[in-house]
Amino acid sequence: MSQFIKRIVKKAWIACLVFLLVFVFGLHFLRREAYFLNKNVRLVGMRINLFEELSLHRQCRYRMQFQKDYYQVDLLLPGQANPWKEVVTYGYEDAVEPSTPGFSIEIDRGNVVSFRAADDAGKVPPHLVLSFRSTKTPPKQSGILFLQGGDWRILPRFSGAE
Amino acid sequence: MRNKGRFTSARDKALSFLARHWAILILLTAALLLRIFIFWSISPQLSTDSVTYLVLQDMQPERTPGYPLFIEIIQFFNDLLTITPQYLRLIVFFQIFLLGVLNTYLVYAFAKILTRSEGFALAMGLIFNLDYFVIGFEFVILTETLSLTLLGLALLFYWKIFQGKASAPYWAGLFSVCLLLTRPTYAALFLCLLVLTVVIHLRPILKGDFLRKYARPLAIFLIINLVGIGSWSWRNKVKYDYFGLTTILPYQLGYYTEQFYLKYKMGSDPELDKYAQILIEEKGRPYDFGNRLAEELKIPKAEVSRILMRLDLKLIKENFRQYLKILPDAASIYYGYSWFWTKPQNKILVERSRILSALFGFFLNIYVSMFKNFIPLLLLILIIPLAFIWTARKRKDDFHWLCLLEGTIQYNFLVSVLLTNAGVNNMRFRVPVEPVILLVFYGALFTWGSSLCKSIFRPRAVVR
Repeated sequence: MSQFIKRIVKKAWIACLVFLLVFVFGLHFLRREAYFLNKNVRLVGMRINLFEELSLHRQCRYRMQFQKDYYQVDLLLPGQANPWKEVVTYGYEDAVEPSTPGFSIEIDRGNVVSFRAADDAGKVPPHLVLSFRSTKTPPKQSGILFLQGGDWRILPRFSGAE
Repeated sequence: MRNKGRFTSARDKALSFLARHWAILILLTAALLLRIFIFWSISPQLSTDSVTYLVLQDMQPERTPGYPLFIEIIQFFNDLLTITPQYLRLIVFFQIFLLGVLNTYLVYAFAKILTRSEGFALAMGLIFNLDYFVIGFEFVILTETLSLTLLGLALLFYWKIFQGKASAPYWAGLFSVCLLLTRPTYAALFLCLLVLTVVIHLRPILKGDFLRKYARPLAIFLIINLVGIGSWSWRNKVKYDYFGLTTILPYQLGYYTEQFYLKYKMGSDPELDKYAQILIEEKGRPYDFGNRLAEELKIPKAEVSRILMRLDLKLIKENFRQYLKILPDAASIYYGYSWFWTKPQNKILVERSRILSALFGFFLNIYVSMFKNFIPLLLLILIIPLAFIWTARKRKDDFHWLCLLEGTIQYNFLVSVLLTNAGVNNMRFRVPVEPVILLVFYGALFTWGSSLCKSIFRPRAVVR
């Protein structure tokens, strides 16, 4: 009897694994827009972590500029005619774009020291949200909240105004 | 009546299960409670190395995919199910509750194989959980915790090959490949295990019994490892024109050559001398040298790594005595003991629980006195293990298992110390084998103590 049960459990285990894989693929298909929105914001966050550590380790300043189709990281080389040298460019995954192209942040010695929207030439505001939206489901947005003092955090998904 | 009978039968089965597994249940409960407290108290900790693992698609040739893939799988489900925006905390959650608890079970399993004692295995599991030097890495985003898990699984399943488990060589090979793709320093561990097995079983091999039984599973284990190394190396060849697991080795060796780079002898190789001049200008610092070649001379990273390797080998060959003189320093840092790597969090944990901090502190004091004094250290890492192996030589299985554990410990030491002198990093390279070092030590004391007690208290047979 126990051998019979073991055989059933063994087959059920394989069936469960197959079911799980099908379930995950199905979920990925159904929640595609949410998945890529979350992924893009998370990748931006992780790359901010990377350049915070690099700027601390190398004692330098980086700038991240978020354009419509890509975002770019520049390194500040003081004393040169064109002080900002491009380091790397990243694309967005799937149909995701920033709600406000031209948003930029600067990272210096391990902290986000400034953040501004494209049309904002004035003082650094107390806080600002860099939001991203899926072009397929525009009302849903996700973003990163930047605060004065170097703190920033990823926000849960929210419905933005069109 | 039938229902009452079924209930009684189910209750008896449950009680029987509890009676057979009391030790592991107590241990896992304690491990879980400890980790719940730690998780709620700490913040995820990043370091300069941590950020290079975060994004799998940004991975550089110095890195291998094991840990980035672990993070990517977690983040895939996080992105899919929108679990939490605190992605670093989620990584630490899995490190603490999945890997940490699994590591606790592995220590228990290893201890049980070694001594066949539930009580000792329970004690070792608890001691492991109170070794803050090791479990502190569970909330640091580095490869130590995952390496410990994969090392434990690889060793456990390798051992199970000799217990006759049909699927063991496949699992052992798989975990060994995952381990070397997480920590490339373990690239030759599978060879070390095979060589030890062959040496220990030389007589049965010559007789033919051993090979008849184990040639196929050991060959499967070997082939899986070779395929794993070969496929990742081939991928690097295609992507970076570099056939190897990682380009990091010359940078690790550079921590040695940084101390005698000025002794480079010009004249033997004009092309290499040109790069040596740059190395001298960068004061021997391997990463500054690498950055300069990549940024100014636009040399691809793989080629930079090859150049640096040639420079390192030339410097070490020409200054071998100086290299040997520095080795003891690297060894002493490797066998250091402190809570350096978890410094930002130490005070928080100490303030939140006096009992826990007292327990952590108790073991800290013991291990500091053992690791930082030469004679106790020698006893811990050499004399007692060798004596234990010697006393176990007549029990083939125990002898084999002990040799595998001790072989892993010494392999980790040799590779970590010979290949790099990276300061405080050398100390964290010991973390994956730290529980094994302590297991062999405590196991020896327990085994000898048990034998002594048995010989004292066993009644003597009276011969008339």
